[in-house]
Amino acid sequence: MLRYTIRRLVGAIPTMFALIAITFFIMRIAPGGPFDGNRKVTEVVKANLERAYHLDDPLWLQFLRYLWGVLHFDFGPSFKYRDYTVSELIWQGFPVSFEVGMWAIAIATVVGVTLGTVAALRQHSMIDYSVMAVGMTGVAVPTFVVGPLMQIVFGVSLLMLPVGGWDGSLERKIMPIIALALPNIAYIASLARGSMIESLRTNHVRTARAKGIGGWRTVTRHALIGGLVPVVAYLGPATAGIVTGSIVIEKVFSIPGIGRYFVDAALNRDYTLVLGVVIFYGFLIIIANLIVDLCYALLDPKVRYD
Amino acid sequence: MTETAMAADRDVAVEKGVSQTREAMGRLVRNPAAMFGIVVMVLLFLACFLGPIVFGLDPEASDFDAVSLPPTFANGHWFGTDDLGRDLLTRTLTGGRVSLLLGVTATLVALGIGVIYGAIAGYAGGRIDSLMMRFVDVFYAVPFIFFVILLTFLFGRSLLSLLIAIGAVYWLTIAVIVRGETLSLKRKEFIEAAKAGGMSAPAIIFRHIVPNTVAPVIVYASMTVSDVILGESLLSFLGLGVQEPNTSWGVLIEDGAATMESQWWPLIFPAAFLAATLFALNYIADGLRDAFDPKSR
Repeated sequence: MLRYTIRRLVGAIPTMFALIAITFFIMRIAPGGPFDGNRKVTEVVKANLERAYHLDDPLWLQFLRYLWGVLHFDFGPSFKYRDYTVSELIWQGFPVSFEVGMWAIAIATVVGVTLGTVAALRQHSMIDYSVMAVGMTGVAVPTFVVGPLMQIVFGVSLLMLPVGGWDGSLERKIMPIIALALPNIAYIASLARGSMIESLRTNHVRTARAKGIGGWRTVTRHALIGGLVPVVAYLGPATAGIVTGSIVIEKVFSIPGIGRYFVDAALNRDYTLVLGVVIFYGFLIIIANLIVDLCYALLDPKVRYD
Repeated sequence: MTETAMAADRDVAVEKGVSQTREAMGRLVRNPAAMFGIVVMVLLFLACFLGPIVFGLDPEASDFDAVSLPPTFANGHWFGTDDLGRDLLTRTLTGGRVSLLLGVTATLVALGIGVIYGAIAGYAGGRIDSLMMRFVDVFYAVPFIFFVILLTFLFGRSLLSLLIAIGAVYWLTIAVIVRGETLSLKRKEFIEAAKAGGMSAPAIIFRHIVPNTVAPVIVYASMTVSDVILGESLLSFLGLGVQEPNTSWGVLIEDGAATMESQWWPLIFPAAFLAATLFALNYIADGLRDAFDPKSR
């Protein structure tokens, strides 16, 4: 297991290197520098600024310097927020994004697996059909529609929850977390339904039933472990989905997370911040996939990594 | 199906030598959910492309005597008007033109790149294959939408640039699928025969490999269309996609979300059109998958 982990981490190095190289060169080829904004600066000032940010060096030197920086978790200064470095902005936004994202994944897994299991146990019942309908809706109604709709219903009409903003209080977290979790609830529910139907038909579950183990215990102790395998496998791609979703959610609910910085940076051509966030996300997703694969091996004895 | 009908079916199959694709289309037609999806998509296309002509309203025309009107049949604005007095029905339909057209054309671009890339990688095999696939892997490290955003920095945000940027990213999954198909096709006798007959590698790829990957490609293309439409709307919603004066469902949903505290209609109608499209495309994709691979159910 340890050897596998190390091998995966080493294998991720060329991927990360290529990711950094591709994003770096796209950004540098792209027209329009950070100092071409609305406020015109004189040629001299511009040249000085470019020297200060090492933008007048040859491209390969800039790339090596950047790469060296990334190894120290230094993504350079933000071009837009002049007083901050990109790493400072990422560390500022990350705890917020992480909190919302983790809660969303946790809720999506618990609710999704529960719904899927109930549907599988009562196949072809009303409950089953409604779970499948919810699954389809979650796939077809995107987060940027669900978010504003929730704001209209719970924030504007019912006045139950604040429409947006962030002060760390629970009531401001509820809507964004649920909005982010919904598409995953839908997907996990249909995934869990399918695998539970299969798992409930396996021989060891039938044996457990035949031996007189109660219905509930059979489901939780025997069927669920097999049924969870595809759900765990999905949590890797789900992280990527949560990252994309968080961009939307943080804009809709005005949450000061990384996603919000990223969208602002992209709109303002704040190249260093965009680069830093993309690389950071790449790193995060690679790590998340590794953790998921390791959990997968723990759950499914047929999977062995050596 | 009755015994005789099945026999008749079989006879037809023997006589005409029905192709895999035609057989699958037959199954698709008999799938009510997929047919429902197709009907909805046809209606949406007709509405978006003919609707604005029929209603004869300019989506850009502001009527400052009719600002933020709620939807009624009486005032002629069935979906109401926005805060600049523009007719929302016309805007929803013209926005749909952009969303649907971008969805289909960007998918075609992605399809072109993905099929060729995948077929070459699979057919070449060995080191070329693993190098080409490592390159694909890099792009899987980050959600596709981030690369589309990076590419819009390069190309700009005109409709054509968005089409290129989206097409240049969404081919990855298709390439992986086609490569897998190619790897198994490569070992088949007819490819061996073509090779023995002195056919060149490009000719084999285009004449024998690519046509035989049609089934999975059609299925994944239908999924890609909904992915692309969703991606474009997401970008436009964030302000990073379609720009004024053009509009798309994503742009309209963003405008609607901005004014939703006082008006619900600018948000609801484009959102409903987008959701209907994604629903329909999902049913079609499911139907196609079942039609081409009946054992998968």
